[in-house]
Amino acid sequence: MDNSSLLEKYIQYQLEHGKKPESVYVFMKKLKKTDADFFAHFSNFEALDRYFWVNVFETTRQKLEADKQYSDFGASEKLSAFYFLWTQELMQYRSYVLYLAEKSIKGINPMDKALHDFRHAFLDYASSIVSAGIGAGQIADRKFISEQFKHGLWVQTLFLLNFWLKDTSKDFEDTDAAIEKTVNIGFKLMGENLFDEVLDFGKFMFQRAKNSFS
Amino acid sequence: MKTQERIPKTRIERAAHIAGAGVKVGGNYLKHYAKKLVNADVSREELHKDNAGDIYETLSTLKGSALKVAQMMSMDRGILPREYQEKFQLSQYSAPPLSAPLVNQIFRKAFGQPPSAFFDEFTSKAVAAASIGQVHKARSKDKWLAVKIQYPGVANSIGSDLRMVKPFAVRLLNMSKNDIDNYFDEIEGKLLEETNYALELKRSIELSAACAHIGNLNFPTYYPEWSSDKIITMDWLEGMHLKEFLATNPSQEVRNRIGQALWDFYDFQIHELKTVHADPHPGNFLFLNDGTVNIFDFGCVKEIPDRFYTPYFRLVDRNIYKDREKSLAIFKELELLHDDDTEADIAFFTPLFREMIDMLTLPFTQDTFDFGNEQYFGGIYQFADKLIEMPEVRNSKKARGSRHSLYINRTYYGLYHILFDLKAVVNTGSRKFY
Ligand SMILES: Nc1ncnc2c1ncn2[C@@H]1O[C@H](COP(=O)(O)OP(=O)(O)O)[C@@H](O)[C@H]1O
Ligand SMILES: [Mg+2]
Repeated sequence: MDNSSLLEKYIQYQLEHGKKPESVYVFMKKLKKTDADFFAHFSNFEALDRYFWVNVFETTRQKLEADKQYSDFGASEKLSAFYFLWTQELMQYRSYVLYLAEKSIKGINPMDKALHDFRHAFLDYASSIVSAGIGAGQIADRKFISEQFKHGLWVQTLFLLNFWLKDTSKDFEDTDAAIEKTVNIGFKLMGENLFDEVLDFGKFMFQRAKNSFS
Repeated sequence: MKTQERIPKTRIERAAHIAGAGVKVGGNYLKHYAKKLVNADVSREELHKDNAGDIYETLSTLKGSALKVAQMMSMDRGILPREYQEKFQLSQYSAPPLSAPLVNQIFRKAFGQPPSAFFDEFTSKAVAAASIGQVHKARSKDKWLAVKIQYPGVANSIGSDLRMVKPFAVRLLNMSKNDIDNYFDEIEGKLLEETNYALELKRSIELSAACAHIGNLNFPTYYPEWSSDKIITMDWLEGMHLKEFLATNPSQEVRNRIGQALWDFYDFQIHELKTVHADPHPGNFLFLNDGTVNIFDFGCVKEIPDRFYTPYFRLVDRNIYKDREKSLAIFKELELLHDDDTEADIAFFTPLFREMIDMLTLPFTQDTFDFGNEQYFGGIYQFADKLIEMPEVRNSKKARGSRHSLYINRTYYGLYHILFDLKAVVNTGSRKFY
């Protein structure tokens, strides 16, 4: 068995049973396989959970990089193209993601451990988008602050993910509109001083909150 | 193309915008009446300009449906007609552009592939803005094409947009909620149709085939294989928008020829097909110096029911007024008058409607009509101004006029407006109504 077929069975199991398998042993026995088959690929279910998210991300990125038009796009267009394709790629797993989201009150949570590897890969990708944007003068280059932009893009990614999960519009066209609008606004923020102000305000609030507790 | 700041995206944000316009308009009225106390000469024009500006600013950031409603409202009761119309005509050209990846996405969802897979060339940026999307120019072999692409999510927001404009309309039009509902129903239906590009494609093909025989008109060929409910592909059309065209100083003969072609186009649709391209907005025609017009955009089409058509055009015959019973019955059929109107209502409204109808149908009663006649045009606007000055009209809670009159009147207003700008002399008397 390879990574993707293990993932597929793992997803199937959860959707059918409404919970994770009790153990790797039980899971593999159901598949009429030994647990060694599992451990050759993943150390535990948590690793598989992380693999799910990072795999969708990497597939998306590879497809984008194979697309000639993508390389001609500017930074904001690249990011939009990423979100369009990413939500498209997630479509085949929609039931599973809905199932995952149901487990928590607020949908998919940015702190979710399963997102760890995806987050790292995404931040890496987001850095390249931000530097491209800075290079093209689309994004303001400011010490310390430009470094933070990628985290803003990560928050945006999770926002769009949860938007897509709740989207009931035909053909998910509201998600398309949300992608278009948030990317436009995001780049506007990164291009102006507004971001500094927001960040400054955030720091201020953080300090106040800290002081009032100590 | 000007890139719009951003579209207010949440319901709350939009509601706040509309409320903003309402407040400002109220303020303008206050200012107006305050000024009037001191100086009786303050022109209404000034007030209208202030209002139109504020409403325009607000509604144009909403785009799409809210803007259309404002357009309709301004036309119907003659509320702020001239000032509004000028502003609203600009609105056609200022939609927020769709990004190239979004255009790809819309194509992928429709056909599984981005435009580059279908066309030899495809402009990455829009060449023109549409009210709810944008137009790209494309090439397939040696053929140039126009590809109109719709913004995602537009249809979904129409219902909620209208619900938010409604209280605003109630205030501006001073009508009962029931009557407003009836009008809004008509408008909402039409707006929803306008977001249905599959329907637009079907109607475009049908109506342009039906009108193909009319002289000096050109229609594009449509390509269903490259069209979907969000995309319409047709031949690229050359030509200029009205303003640009007029700036080239076309000869009287050319202007007459174009005016005649447009007149014949509307005449044939209204009287023969009873289905009409109900959006004679200057942005929907491209004019050529050889005296021909290119026609597209069958997004807004009104089907005219017989029960409206028959009484409406019977009023072309001025003799009808000699028979009071008959003319009152017709007014009732058109819902200009209602069964519960008092004698005083009838005595007040009948001459007003007559004046209005006589004015609008005047071209039908003459062999040739000079639409460049400033006096005729000024008269229409003066009449509209007179109407809103009348407390009886302002305070009438009842709708005056059937819902079908909304789009039919708008069609005639729009057509006359273009013919006026063209200063065209047109043969208008060939059809006999009685
Ligand atoms: N076939 C065409 N050839 C050239 N330009 C076109 C064509 N169709 C549309 N356009 C341009 O795009 C603009 C908007 O198109 P239109 O169909 O009127 O959109 P909407 O339905 O939103 O009003 C037009 O005013 C015109 O400038
Ligand atoms: Mg148009």
